[in-house]
Amino acid sequence: MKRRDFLTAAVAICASPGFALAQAGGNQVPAASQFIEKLAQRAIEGLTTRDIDTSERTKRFRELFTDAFDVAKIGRFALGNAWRTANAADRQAYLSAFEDFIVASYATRFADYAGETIRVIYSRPLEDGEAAVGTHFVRAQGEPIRVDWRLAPDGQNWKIIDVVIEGVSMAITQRDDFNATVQRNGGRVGPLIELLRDKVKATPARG
Amino acid sequence: MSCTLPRFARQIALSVAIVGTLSTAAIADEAIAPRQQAQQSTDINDPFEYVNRGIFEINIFLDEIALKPLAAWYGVLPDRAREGTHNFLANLKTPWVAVNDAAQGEGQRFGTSIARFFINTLLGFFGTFDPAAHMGFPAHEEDAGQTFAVWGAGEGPYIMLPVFGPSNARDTLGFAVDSFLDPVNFAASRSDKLDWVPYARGAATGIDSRHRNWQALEDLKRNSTDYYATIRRVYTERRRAAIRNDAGGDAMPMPRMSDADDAPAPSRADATRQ
Repeated sequence: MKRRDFLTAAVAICASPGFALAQAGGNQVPAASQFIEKLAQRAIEGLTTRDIDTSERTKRFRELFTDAFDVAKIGRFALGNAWRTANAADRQAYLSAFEDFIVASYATRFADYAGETIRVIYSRPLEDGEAAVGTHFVRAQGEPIRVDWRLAPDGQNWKIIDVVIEGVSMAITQRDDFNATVQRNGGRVGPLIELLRDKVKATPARG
Repeated sequence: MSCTLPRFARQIALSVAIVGTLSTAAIADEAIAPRQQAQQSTDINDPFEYVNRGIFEINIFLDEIALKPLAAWYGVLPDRAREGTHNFLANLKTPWVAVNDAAQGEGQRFGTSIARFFINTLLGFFGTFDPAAHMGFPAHEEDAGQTFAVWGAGEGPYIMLPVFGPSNARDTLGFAVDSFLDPVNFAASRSDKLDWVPYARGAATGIDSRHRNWQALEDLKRNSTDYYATIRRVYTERRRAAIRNDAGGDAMPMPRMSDADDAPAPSRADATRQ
């Protein structure tokens, strides 16, 4: 087979619906890496533009964050043991404060975008249908930053449940942090919620 | 998330710092940390948390009045000058990295370190440039603490060192060994005229690290409700990653998020009872 013929055949096979189904059915992990790639693309297109103000950027980031991340699961995990003892009202107040806190922490960072890209370096299945996707966060200068994503199946799609930056799990770091605050306050969740709200208020408006 | 986290462990160890042997009594009230903390970070042993938190507060104070201002001044230098300084300091450390590569039985990485030292010293203006990285010899870090870990030593208790910041029993011993046995320091301390070199080098490395981690540390502080607990976790995980040497493979362990945390909310009855 000549090289061009081979390529044509290969493209035809890959483009056929049967192949796509076989891929999706046989191994869901490639879809996980696509999920991350699409998410990165969406973030770059929607959040890094300089034409929008802080409130619009924050609004868009919140949409993307609640869409792509399992905020409730991460929030529950981050609260650790205190989640089990917290009452329904505290849980709801906490989850809402947690979401606001993450949004406030990261939304404005996209205004500083300087052409960084995300390159997938691997993806592999984990137990319970979950998947790990490893990426390099490539910057204009300096070494790339290693970022690993943990995804859980969510219907026909995925939700991110942890981000591991250079070996440091954000979910676990957050849990240590929140637990220390809850413990310092005698096991009560209320002061943590207050602290999270204060942090949101103190976030400088920029970009 | 645009933090400069590579080589974070080492840098953070040298960064949150300066000298402090003050009594911890003054800050004791603020630092009163519940002792049952250990149950939370089940995989980090922090039996000296009360004292560690006191030292941490002092370190932060010293950072604010001394190291941060120095790092800010350093930041005024042109990028080129800072990069050259960083490369020069890294090159001074490369012989010791090679010794540790060898001690860990990492033949290929040992070869890379040796090649890097000769190429960068001879062709890179005494190490201020890094031509070796473009010749297939990328930089990597090793130290005695990592070597002890490869030999089977556990972390031991978490320790907040005055001046030098977060550590643990194993890495504290490693840090002492690094300081004394590093070939450059070892040679310099034997000379009457160059015995100041280890101190100047240590200070320069601290300032360079503080500057490189500026944004990362600002982010960690702003995004935490308990800075001490956050730094403890970040330091520990960065060290574990450095010991695994996982730069690009898929060996990164993904921490399991147990479903036990998904317990349903207590009923209204429970809520009103409280």
